[in-house]
This record gives sequence, C-alpha cells and structure tokens, in this order.
Amino acid sequence: MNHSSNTTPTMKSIKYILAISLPLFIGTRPVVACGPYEPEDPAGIRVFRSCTPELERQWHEGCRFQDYEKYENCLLWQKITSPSIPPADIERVVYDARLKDITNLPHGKLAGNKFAEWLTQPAHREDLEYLLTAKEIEEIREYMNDPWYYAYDGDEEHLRLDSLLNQCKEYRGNRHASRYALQLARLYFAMKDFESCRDLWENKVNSMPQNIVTDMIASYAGGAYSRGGYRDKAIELFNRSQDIGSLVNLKAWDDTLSNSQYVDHRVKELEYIFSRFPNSPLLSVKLQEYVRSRERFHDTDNAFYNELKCFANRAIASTNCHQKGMWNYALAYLYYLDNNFSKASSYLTQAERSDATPFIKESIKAFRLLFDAHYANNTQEYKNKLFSELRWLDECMARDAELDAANNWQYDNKMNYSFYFWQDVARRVLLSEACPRIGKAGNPVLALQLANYASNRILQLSPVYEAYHYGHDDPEDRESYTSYISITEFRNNWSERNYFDYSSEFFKLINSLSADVAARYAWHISSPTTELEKFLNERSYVDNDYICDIVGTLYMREMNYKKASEWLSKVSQSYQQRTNIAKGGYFKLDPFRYQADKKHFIADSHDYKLHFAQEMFRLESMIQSDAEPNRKADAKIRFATGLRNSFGICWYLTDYEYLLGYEDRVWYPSSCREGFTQNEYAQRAYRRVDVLTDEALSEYTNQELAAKVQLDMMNFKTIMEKYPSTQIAAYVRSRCDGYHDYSLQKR
Amino acid sequence: MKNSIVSTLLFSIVASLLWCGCSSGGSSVPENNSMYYWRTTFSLNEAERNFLKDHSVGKIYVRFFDVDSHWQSGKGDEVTPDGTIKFVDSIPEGVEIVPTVYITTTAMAQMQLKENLYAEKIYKRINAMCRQNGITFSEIQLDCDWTKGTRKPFFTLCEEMKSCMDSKQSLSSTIRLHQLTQTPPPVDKGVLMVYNTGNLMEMTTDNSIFSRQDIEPYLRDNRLANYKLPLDVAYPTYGWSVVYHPAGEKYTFDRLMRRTDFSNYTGLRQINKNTYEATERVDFSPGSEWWDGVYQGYRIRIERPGASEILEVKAMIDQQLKNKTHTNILYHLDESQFKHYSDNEIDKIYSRD
Repeated sequence: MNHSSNTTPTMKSIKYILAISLPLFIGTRPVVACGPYEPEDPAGIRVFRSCTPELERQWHEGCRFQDYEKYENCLLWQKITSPSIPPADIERVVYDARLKDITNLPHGKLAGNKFAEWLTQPAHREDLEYLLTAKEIEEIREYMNDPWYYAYDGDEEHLRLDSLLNQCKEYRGNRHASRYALQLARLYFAMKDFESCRDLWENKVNSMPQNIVTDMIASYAGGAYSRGGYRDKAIELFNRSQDIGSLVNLKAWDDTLSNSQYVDHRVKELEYIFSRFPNSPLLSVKLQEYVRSRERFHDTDNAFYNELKCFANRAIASTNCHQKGMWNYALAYLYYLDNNFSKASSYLTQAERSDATPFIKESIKAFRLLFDAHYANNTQEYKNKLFSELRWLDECMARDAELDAANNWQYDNKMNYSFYFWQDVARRVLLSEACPRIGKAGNPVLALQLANYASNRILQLSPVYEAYHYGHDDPEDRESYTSYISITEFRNNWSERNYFDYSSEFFKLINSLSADVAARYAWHISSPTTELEKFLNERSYVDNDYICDIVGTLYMREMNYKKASEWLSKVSQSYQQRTNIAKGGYFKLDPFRYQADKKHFIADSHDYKLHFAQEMFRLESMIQSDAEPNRKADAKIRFATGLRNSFGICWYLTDYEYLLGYEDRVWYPSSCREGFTQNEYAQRAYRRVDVLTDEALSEYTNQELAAKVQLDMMNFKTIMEKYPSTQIAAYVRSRCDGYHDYSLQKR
Repeated sequence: MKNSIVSTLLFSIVASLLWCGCSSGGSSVPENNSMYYWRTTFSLNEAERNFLKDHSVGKIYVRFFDVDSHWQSGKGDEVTPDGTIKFVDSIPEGVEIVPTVYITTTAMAQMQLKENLYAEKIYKRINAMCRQNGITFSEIQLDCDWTKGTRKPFFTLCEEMKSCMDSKQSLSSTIRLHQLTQTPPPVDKGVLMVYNTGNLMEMTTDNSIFSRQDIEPYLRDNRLANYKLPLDVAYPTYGWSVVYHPAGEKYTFDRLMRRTDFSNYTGLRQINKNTYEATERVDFSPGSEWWDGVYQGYRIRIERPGASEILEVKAMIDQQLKNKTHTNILYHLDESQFKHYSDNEIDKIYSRD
C-alpha cells in the first residue's frame, strides 16, 4: 500500500480518469447481433430520381412496362362495352381480380364495380365467359410457375389447359377474336409449343387490325420466332409491340454497333433504345441507375459519364424527345456531382423550363431544393425561399407518407439509409447542406429547427416505430398478422432503450452545441419569432420533457448548475422514469460518495438529476459565501466529489449514450466517442476537481475532518504522515497491519 | 406365369439355404440392404448398378429435393423446394425407392403455424415426381437437423404429413446423434445418422465426418436401447477434403473439396496423418475456368472414415440394439466414394449380428 496525497494535478487527473473510465466501460451494454452500425453520413443519401420504384420493379422482374399496356387495354374494353364504365373499374376486374371474384359476381370484392355490373347482365355473357377463361388460364399458369409445382404427364393442370386451349381455338365470334388469340399465344408459350405460336401469328393474328391486344400477341410471337432462330422476324415483332425488354435481351442493337459514335456499351444501348422508342420508360430506369451509381458509389468511370452527358445533349436536341426535362435534369445532376455548379445551374434552369412528366417535374423541384441549399445562408432572402420550398416538400412528404411499415423503414430512417424519397430529400437537403451552412452563418437555432424537422417529421406522418411480423402478410391466412408499435407507445411505454431519440441527427446536433444555444432553441419552440419557425416547430419532436432534459444536461456538462436546475425542474417525473438511464438501472448511485458503488444506493431517486444540480448549486454558493473554513472545505470536497462522479461513474448526469462505434461494439457517451479521456468538458471538470480538492485539504483546520477526507480517498499513508494523532489514523492502524507496523516504526 | 412362380420358389429356397449357411458362421450379409442417394441427378453407372446387386441393396433413400427459404421478389422469404433431383436413368428393378426430403432449419422455422400447408405441398410434390418417373413408394423420409427451437414445427409437420399419406404408407425421419436426448419425432421409424459428428469449421477437428471419440458420448446410458422409436442406422462411406485458410494465428474454414488424393503435388507438405499445408500456390485444375486450388499457407484435411473405426462404433451400436430389429444403411451411393472400401468391409458394415 502506497497511497499518498502528494500527487501532482496531472497524476490525479490520470487517477480520476482511470477511476471513472473503468466503471464506464465495465458498464457498457451488450450489443445486438447485427450491429451497432454507424449511421451513414446524410451526404450519402441518393436523391436523383427519374423513375418510380414500380417502373424499376417491372423492368427488373419482367423486362416489361405494364402501365401503358394496361391503360390501352382498359380503353379498348371501354370501347367495346360502355363509355360510362371508368377505366379504373375495368382495370380492377381485368388485372386485379381473381377467378373466384368473377365467379362470385355480383357479390364479393367487386360489388359496386361498374364493369362487374356490366358483366353480370345476361346480354353480356360473352364478355364474362372470356374473362372467366382468361382468369382460369392465368391462375393455372401462375400455379405452374410456383416452385412447388412439379409437372407429370396427364396432371390436372395440363389436362385443364388442354381443355382451355380447345375452348380458345373453338371461339368463332368476332368480339373477342384477338383476346382469345392472346390466350392461345400464352398457352402455347406455357406448353413450349413455339411452332403453334408462330402459326397462330401467321395464319390468324397477322391479318387482324393492329391494337394493343394484337401488339401483345406480337410480343409472344416474337419470342416464338426468336426461339426458332428467326432473329429478324423476332426483332420486327418486338419493335411492333414496343417490347423493349425483349429487344434488349436479344441484343437487337448489335447490328448498329459499327455506326455508333460511342464507345461505352451502356451508352450504345441507350442510343439504340432512344432511336427506336425515344420516350421509352426504360430510358428513365437506365438513367436513374447510372446517375445514382455516380451519386452513391462515386462511380469514377469518367469516360462513361462524359459519353452519357454527350448522349443526353443529343437526346435534348432530338425533335422526337418529349422528355427533355428529364435529360436536362440528368445533366444538371451529373454536373452537380462533378462540383461544376455553374453548368449544373444552367441545365437545372433548362430542366425547369422543358417538357417533362409531373413526376419528373417534382424530381427537378427536389433537386432545386438541394441546389439552393448548397448556397444556404442566414439572409432573409434565403430563409424566405427555404420556407416556400419546405412547404412544398412537406406537402409531398405528407402526400406519399403511407410507408410500408413492414420494411422497417424506421431503422433506415435512423441510420440515414435511403428508404423513402421525400424523407431522403429532406435529410439530404437539410442535414447535409442547409443545417451546417446556416449554423456557420450564425443561426444555430434555425439549424436545430431544421434538423429536428428532417429527423422527426416522418414520425408524425407515419407514426410507426416498428413492426413485428408473424407468418406471411397474407390477409387470407388467419395465422399471419403484423403487430405495429407506434412511435408514441415506443417513446412512452417501451421497456427497452429508446435508440432513436438519442441517436437521431437532431440529437447529434443539439448535443454538439452549447447549452445556451440549446436553451435559445427551446425558447424559440415556445415562442417562435417567424412563420418559418412556427412551421418547423409544429412538424418536429418538441416534447417539453425531451428538450428540457437535454438543455439541463448540457448545462450540467458546462458546470452551470443554476441554469441546469432551472431546466431540469421542468422535466416530469414520468419522463425521467422512462429515459434510457432509468431503464438502465442508473439513478441509484449516490453521486456525492467518493466511492460511489452499489452498496450505497440512495433511497429516493426522484428528480435525481435535478437534486444533483440543486445540491451542486447550493455547494457552489456555500463555497463562495461561507466563512467557516471547515464547512467551506467540506463543501469544496463534496462539490469536487459530485463533479468528478458526474463525469465518471455517474456520467449520466452530464451525458447520454447511444450506439456509435462499430469496431469496438460498445456504447459511448454521446459527447465524445473516446469516452471521457478525450472529452474537453470532462477535462475541464477534472482540473477544477484537482484545484478544489487541494484547496480544501489545505483549508481544513479540523484535523479529523481532513483525515476523514483522506480516508475516503484511501490515502492511508498521508493520514499516517499528516494526521497521525487523529481517531481516523487510529482507525486505519486498527484495520491495517501494514500501517500498524509502519506507525510503530515511525514512533 | 407358372414358371415364374416355380422359379421364384426355387430361388427363395436356395436363398434361404445360403442365408442359413452364412448365418451359422456369425455375421451375415442380409438382403434388402439400404443406401442413400444424395445427388441432384439420378444416374447410375455400371459399377453402381453392380454394387447394388453385389450387396443386395433393395432400398434406396433418394433425396428428391431440399426445402429451403429463398428470397422471392415482392414476397419476401418464401419456403420453396430447391435442388430437385432429375431422373435420367430408370430405377433398377426390384429396388424400393424412399423419397427423402431435406428440410433446412431456416425453412422449418418459417413453416411454423403453416405445417399443414407445407405437408400437403411436400406430399403432393413427391407424388407428382413419383408419377412422372414411374416410382411407387410406400415410405417417405424427412431429414431435418431440428433442435429445441424447431422441434415443435418439425413434429407438427410430421403429424401433418402422416395425415396426408395413405394408411399403407409410412413416414420415417433421420435422427441426429444430438437429437437422441429429446423426445422422438412422431414418425414410424427413425434412421440414426452416425456421421457428420464433428465440427467442420474447426481446423483442430480430426475428422468431422466420423470420429469414435465424438460419437461415444451420445451413446451413453444405453440410449439407443431405450429410445422410443424403432431405429435403423446409417454409416458413412464417403470422404472429402476440408480446406482452411490462415486468418491471423488461426485457420478459417474455406471450402470442401471432393478431391482426396494430394500425393502428387510438390507444393503440398504433409504435416500430419491427414493434413497437408501448401508451401506455394497449387492449382489442382490448371486451365479450368474456375479456380480450383490453394494458396501458400492454406491447409487441407482429408477426411474419410476407416472401415475399422466404423466397425468399432457399429459394434457399440449393435450392442445397444441387439434386441431390436434394425437395418444398416450406407451413405451414399457413389462409385467415387465406395471404391475406397473393399466388398468385405462393406458387407461387414451391412451385417446384422
């Protein structure tokens, strides 16, 4: 044993650091199996968008775009039935309904549907029969495509298909001749009878008038010709049916390769597609893929992107192009990613003025937000523009916020993964561009308001925290269901830790700012000074308990106990009990014990943080005003102990914790990744602790009190040397053989 | 017709006499031995057909397909069949086929609450496969490495399977050694798998396919004698090589290789009885499109159970099952594997004392 009080302040600091670091790290939480993961930088969120997720899906799953086909087919049905039947009703019956829905007519799911009503009339039996046949074929084919299906000669499905095939062949009417032919083409394909499919085309369909149905047959016939080795005929039919997917699969552009001015095969492909179908949805799918690759993965294939830019300019110059807005938008975005802002600005202006679908126009507008945010500042002019842009963004976000909770988007939201376009735009524009610039320009309060909006608005619009799935989400399966946990339930009643509110980008920002700024922000919540502030506050998570607790904690971190007390007194008991700290079992240690440990839990943990702040403030006042040296020294020691513990074993008085590091897989205090060893607030506190302790020990006039302090600090040698005649020294001697001997020798 | 009855009778009498003659000497090579067939194409070469004849194999447990969980676009994880066997050759005459379905534990967990649905799907698919390939069957076997977590759905699946099946058909299931301590599944018969007993992932494992040391603890307390389900026993007659790559001071599992002969490679140094270490880059199939080799520092462990060790374990098992009728099954029918065992060794493994 060699404990001594004669240590330098630096050595003491090391001792404090060790004393506090050990419990801090021993007290770390176990981690979940798949994490923790570091949230992605909001700058990495992709917001280039030229096609819908549905188009992307259609292309990747079947290399076909069904929207056009569906729409035209419904119009054709309307033409042969009644103009009073809305195409949407037709679509529901022709595309969405199952066979049983049609057999159930006029009851069931389709009750009230105008087209269904038409079909139930006796005069329209022919239409109904066709649909029954088509639905049955579709469902049998669907069943045969199921991985569980195993064909055997003469199985039920094949027998039924044979019978349906004959039924289709035997149709002698005119009204549905092309539709029955379409079913025949499908059946031949299902049976891999490509020759019959070619015969069907040559002998029957070829002479029919061209419409969407015969074009669909052309696509099947093209496939049959392709399989028979008739490549040119196949390309001709695919061109007729605008079956771009089959043309791409057939590499139909191979013949034109030598004439192309481009080197990159991807640009050659775009050139081919554009030359045949200048407004094909495939161009939007491909553009999105290429630009996002540059945006997200920093694809450095500059030669390709330069060719893509050249091609985009050619597309814009073409008179056949009705999507000039999309090409200008892509160019603007590519130059933006190259940091060529003047060119980006010029193309963006062109994009805004060019023809584009409403969908692309919205994408362009979202890019305008991003572009403007690159020049974000604290001027009234910018704030006005921002407000106008945010109102529009908020409308878009609210409009499309029916999120698929099944996909656990909340996790993606927390981790800054791209998951929902408008939320992505909000986070990218505000968190990565506007907030840092506005903060730097001297308005950190507005930066906080924007960060809170970007982090939390989505939770107001779709207030789901998490979804648990049982079985499959099949409404007809009684065993399948999804249980949703609302964000309110999660915040108020969830027994586990609240990961979100203490790891969101808003939290990270407020936690990095001074307590005064946080307090100003809190004041602006209750008293917004502008319409923009009001707008943002209404759409943010501004729970009084949550904000006041943060502000109070930040003041505690800055050792401003008076203000900490003021803010913490506004935090409700119920909130305190549902914080991570309470859930983690803290709020029990006595922060004023030198050796704070589980043996000395305090009896009442209500207002734990507040009581600590109040006591620290009381002690601080006493240190200033008390003239009695021993009381003053006692106050200093108690204050120093509380201060040390609040940056040590009772760290939750000055800090929060959240998942941050991956490699070490530990929970870190939110203010400093490395823990308190690198934390400037803690270092400042430790220096103050050293000064106060030294002062107190030199100020004691009562030897017993001074010795007691040394005993708490386990400085036994100092007690022996400086206070050998005290009862404390006698106590140490009686308990410690080493010191008994030591004192005997000294005598 | 008459002639065939007479010749059958004669054959039976001769066979019975031969059987008695063999039995009197102690161990016997019984008829209707069984084997597993675990490939994705059913095709038998001459050696394999001869093996069936020579060793009186009357029953083959053929893996028809696996049931696994697969990501289906727009549907999420779906339990679907995988690796369906393709029947290229006809089934040898007089050989009974037992359709066998391997179910992964992931799929098993996902089947929970829908076991009836999947039982029907499995049964329907087996029926379709048998009809298409001219197979009649009277037994189905389910193979699943169920543990406590997946026991309930597996047992329910077995019950549901039985309710789908014809009353004349029986259901069996594989029983892994670790499953012996738990309640047996609700099937008519079990096949104790006495292989894959060690940890394949560990470089320190001596033989992950078969090791007496690994098996013995599972056979404590006369467990087989007390097991509440009739058991047949499957022994391994296969081998492979396990490749590990260095990862710091340890070795990490890299892959399995069918190749087990490394005697002609100068870049490989034998470091113990069944392990080689690569002293340089070694390409086993130069010119091949796919990389088939090892890099410097890689280690290769050859695993092939020796007949003597199998017979030692078999003696222990037979001792526990001496009062229970059981047959022995070999895993699996593949010339490249069983050629490493002599006819005599195979017969000894098959023998029922």
